[in-house]
Amino acid sequence: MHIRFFNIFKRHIHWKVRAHTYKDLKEIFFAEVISVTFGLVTGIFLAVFYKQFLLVPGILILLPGFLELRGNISGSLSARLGTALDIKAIKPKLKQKFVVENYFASFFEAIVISFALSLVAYIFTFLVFHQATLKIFAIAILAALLSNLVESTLATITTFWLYKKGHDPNNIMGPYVTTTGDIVSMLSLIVAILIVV
Amino acid sequence: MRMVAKILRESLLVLVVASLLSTIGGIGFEALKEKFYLLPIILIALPALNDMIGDLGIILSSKFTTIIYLQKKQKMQKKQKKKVSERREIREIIMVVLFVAFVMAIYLFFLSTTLAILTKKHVDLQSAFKTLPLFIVSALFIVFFLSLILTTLGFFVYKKGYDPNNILVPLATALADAFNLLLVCLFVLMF
Repeated sequence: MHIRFFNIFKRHIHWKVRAHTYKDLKEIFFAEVISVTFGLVTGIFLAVFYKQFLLVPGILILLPGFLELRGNISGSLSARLGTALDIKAIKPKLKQKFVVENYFASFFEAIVISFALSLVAYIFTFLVFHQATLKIFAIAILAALLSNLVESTLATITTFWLYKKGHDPNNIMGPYVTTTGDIVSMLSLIVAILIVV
Repeated sequence: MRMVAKILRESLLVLVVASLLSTIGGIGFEALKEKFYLLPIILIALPALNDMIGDLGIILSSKFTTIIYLQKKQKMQKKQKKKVSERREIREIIMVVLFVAFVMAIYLFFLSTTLAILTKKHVDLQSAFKTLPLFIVSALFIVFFLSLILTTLGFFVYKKGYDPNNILVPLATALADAFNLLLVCLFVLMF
């Protein structure tokens, strides 16, 4: 079942072999079209509220890490729930010890990582740009809590909903949390800036 | 609470390292923040471009890991064909991912230009087209560079007895963020 990429367009290749590479291409391509299209929503928020971002020195240093944080935390949360559902360790219900503990662990992770990110941003802006503000800690932690509240709740509910509908959450939740996570994180960061500044 | 402690112990270090690696690109972004304001197309496309390269990095990581595990399984049955088919499969998936990166870079450019025109009135089409090479070069260059790092590291990590998925996936997204932002900053400096 092996074939060089550009050979999938040639006629003499057996249809089964061509289909193997074509299937990969098709799946990756359509997943990316959806991901990129929704990813632009985050970009629009960034462009529209860019002046607010300029008000806080160092906020752009933590922005890429902050956007990535959401996907990483909620992605691993839904992966843990998905695996537990698959091996029948839990039922798709919100009120049970395993789910509650996983949910709260995601809050601890969000607080610790957002603190680490704001610390790096603060130190760097203080040393290099000489215009650091302590508000960056409040903004990062507040935004992390807000986005975690929305995204982890959304990830938990969606994982259970997909499982109940007969889908495998592991196949769907990855791109879902990275795309929705970016939008939720950007909105939370904007709300936190508007509250703190 | 034992579960919470276990989750934090296993995941926190990787998450902190991955997030901090992403701030490397953020430093360049902060340093050039005024220049970015004049390039709304890049601002709009930046999160999606980062996401796309990160996603392709994740696909490469998980595919490489699957290839490594599958080859190990096949190696037990047919020893001789191992090296050839392994290399061929890796080459094939890199080509597929590079092709998708190229097409998606063009798609992203046109979509972000349209959105920039709709949201900001002062977008000059001539200068907008000057940003097209950035989309194509960053998508192709970083995805190719990532595939080199991930294959080399994947085999190394596997030989050390770890599951490559656990290390390659966060690393792929963090490296994609860092390299992409640095490349974009370099472009903005030259623009």
